[in-house]
Amino acid sequence: MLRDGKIDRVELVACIATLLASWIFLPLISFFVRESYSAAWMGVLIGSLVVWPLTLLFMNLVRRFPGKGLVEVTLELAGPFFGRLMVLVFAFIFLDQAASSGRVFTEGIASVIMPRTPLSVHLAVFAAAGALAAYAGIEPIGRLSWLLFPFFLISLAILLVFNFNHIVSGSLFPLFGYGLKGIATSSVEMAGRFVAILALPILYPLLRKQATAMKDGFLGLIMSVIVGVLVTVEFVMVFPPGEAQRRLFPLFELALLVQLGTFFTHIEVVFVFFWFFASAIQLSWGLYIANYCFCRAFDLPGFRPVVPIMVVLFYALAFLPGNVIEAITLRVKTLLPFSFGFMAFALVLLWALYPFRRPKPAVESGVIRK
Amino acid sequence: MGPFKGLTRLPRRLRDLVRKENQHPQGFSLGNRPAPPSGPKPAERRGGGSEEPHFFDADAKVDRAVSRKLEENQRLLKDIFRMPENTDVLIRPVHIAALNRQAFLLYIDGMTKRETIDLDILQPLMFLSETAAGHGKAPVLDVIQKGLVPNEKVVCQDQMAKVLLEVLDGNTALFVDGEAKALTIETKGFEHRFVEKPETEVTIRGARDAFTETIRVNTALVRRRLKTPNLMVEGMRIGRVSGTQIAILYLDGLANPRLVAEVKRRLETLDVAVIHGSGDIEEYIEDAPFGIIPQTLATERPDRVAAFLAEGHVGIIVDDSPTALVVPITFSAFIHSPEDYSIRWPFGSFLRILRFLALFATLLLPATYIALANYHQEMIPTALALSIAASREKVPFPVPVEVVIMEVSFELIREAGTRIPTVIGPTIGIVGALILGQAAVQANIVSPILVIVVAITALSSSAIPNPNAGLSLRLLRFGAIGLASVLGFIGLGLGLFFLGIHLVSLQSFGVPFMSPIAPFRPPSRDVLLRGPLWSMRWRPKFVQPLDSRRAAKYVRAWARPSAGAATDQDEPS
Repeated sequence: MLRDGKIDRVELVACIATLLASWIFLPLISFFVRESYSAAWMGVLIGSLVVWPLTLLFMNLVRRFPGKGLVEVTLELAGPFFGRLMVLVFAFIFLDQAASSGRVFTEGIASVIMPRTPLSVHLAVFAAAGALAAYAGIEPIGRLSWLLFPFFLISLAILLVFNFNHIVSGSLFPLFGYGLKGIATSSVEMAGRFVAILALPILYPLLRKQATAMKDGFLGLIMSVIVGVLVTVEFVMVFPPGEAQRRLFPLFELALLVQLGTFFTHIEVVFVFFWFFASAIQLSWGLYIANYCFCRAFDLPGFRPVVPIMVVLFYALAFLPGNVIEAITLRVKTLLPFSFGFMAFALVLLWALYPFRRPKPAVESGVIRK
Repeated sequence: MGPFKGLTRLPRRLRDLVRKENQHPQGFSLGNRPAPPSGPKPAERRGGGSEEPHFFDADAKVDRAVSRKLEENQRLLKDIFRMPENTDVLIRPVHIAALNRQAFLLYIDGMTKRETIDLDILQPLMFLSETAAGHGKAPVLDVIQKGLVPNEKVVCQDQMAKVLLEVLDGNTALFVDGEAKALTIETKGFEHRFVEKPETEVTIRGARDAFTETIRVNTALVRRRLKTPNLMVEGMRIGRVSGTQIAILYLDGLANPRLVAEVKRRLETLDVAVIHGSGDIEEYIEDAPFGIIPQTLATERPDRVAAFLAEGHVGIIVDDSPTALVVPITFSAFIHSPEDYSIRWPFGSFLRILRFLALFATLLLPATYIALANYHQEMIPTALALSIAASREKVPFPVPVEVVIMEVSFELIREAGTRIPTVIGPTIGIVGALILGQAAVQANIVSPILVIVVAITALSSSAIPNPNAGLSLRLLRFGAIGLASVLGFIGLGLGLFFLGIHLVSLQSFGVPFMSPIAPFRPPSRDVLLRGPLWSMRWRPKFVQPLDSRRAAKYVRAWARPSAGAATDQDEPS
């Protein structure tokens, strides 16, 4: 399946956009508001865009190794030991992002929609969806991403439009919030979340049309940035910054306010229904990419036997630590900056090693093969 | 092999012959030109050949040439057909006076047309043979074939196995004393149903003829709509015992040769005793045999098959089956109806949207009701929630049980309505729907609102044009009910996610089932909605037809300012 699966352009766009936009299920906005007050959206914008130049450099490196992706390039440049170690960190980043999204999303469901169902059951349902998709392979995930992506966007658009009447326009001021330091902190944390764009160089060998990979990746990134900034702006405008800091589940909070006339006053379930798909897709990609990295690192012939192991790891990671606030704090304050830092470190290291270990033209019997 | 020894399988020689003819389709070609060589040859069958057990003790008798001695042939045939125990196989002795030869006819009563035998064979041989007496020393069978038997298809056979195959098809064999060959004469004339209206794919304005159980009639119904020599109707036989005739239809020069070869490969490699109908074939050739979604389109409408052939698909018609198969197929075909093209495009599109909604209602409505009533009551507007609560006040069952009772009852009514004779079938439906529903409400077994939910679901399922797809949805509905009962909307989401993964993983003859949506292919105006006919210039690309262009750039050339100058010279696909 690893050898045969390919994803199309639109599927890649949906993949990147879903992976990068899924942070809106997390209470990151609340954290950003605490750090930069009314300028939370700036942190989102800067943090999400700052990863793009790094991605370009990664892609530039990967393209110098025909037929290979970031995982293979890392193994080739950093050697079998350090290379595998780095690839495992890549896998961990994707797995942890899936786990944190899954944990917070299911916490939201448990607190807003189905409070009597244990969190472990919600998370098990979630894990089952992701596991099946990861087991099915990259093509089904890609196609389903593309199929469900419009519903995700439409549900968000409706959410934003139907909250216009709650907007307090002055909430965006002062423009720079608590100041540049807060914005910079938020940006680094946001950039840590956008490290998921590494999916582009990792999945590069599996793209059906590699020539347009950069264009498609950028489109996915821009879509996710627009989604992130709009949600943040609206959240801050609907719940003024002082109040927004205390709201743990921004999207759910916004959904609770949506009314369709006086007849339908609680339609948050409908939104959650669609977000479930987006979140499950994000989990599927996370599991698949983690699987891919692991199997490539150890040169395993098939990825399916590893899927259950990854699902168990996902399940365990999602419950670390036990308290949701601590879990999110750990990720925002530690793992996200670490992810971004590691991305930068990996980039520097790989480019530093490149002059010494660059691929040489294959020579066979004195004839250079093209 | 027990009591069925000798009755359950064709002689080995016949089987080999069927297999051999399948490899050279022109031998049984139902079309008007020999099939081009295509695709890989059938793979060697595991356990085939000599490893197969001998059930039939006549193998050695069949595997021989026709004897010159009339009595020997007669004795052999009586032995093979277990005459006189087999009462429908007849041997009719004939004396050809003018040629001074004894002969006999072999045919199966009921499968042949008596008038043809009487007028085309017996009468010329017995009374008119003097006209041929002047042929001098010409071979007797030549004289009979060319001068005596006024039949369109008279073939000289020297192998007993071939003769038997023809006779089993409903033709008549003529054995003449002193001749080491036999003539087989086309006399097929078994009773069959005439072309009638479709029963499950009814249209208001479209054509109203449906397939019958006769393969020749069915192929003719398609050919009548595609009057082109490129329409290939290749024949083959499948089934060691049934020897069922299969016709593969496609448009040469349009259908992708790899697709045609794949269809042939799958059919040719089938090694099975009996083919009962197209349902068997469907199950044998589909890509995912455990999938719940049909991967071929079964239709009783020749116009639908013709329409698909004109897009580059391949049709499969099975003898004795009034349903043809079309491959490959995609999701959208299950919400399309021939009616869509018989009415103007806005109405066609509107009906498709309705069917699409019906599809979701069929699958999700009862489950949604359970999820709302059990888990997400806050979503229901207060007035409606009070109404539902009041209607459920005296109902003792929890909502999921109530829904399952009603759904199962409805499926029973539907099944009974299908099986019960046509005259009282509708009555059963009315009795079931009105009396049982009303009685169940009055007895406080179910709530009135649930009756409405089940009724809407039933109506929706009837709106799905394809019966197979409808069945799949009905079955999946019970899964949705189960998931919604346990986890509300989250369970429904999980179920839909699983279904989505299944759908995007499915393939029909290598074509992704969700094409052209996922994987996305350039927009076609005939997927969920139907565009104006003049705008649908291109055939669907997922079938990879050899010619993508369906219509010229300016179909309505008369409407252009330079009417008359319009040509086809638009860009190639």
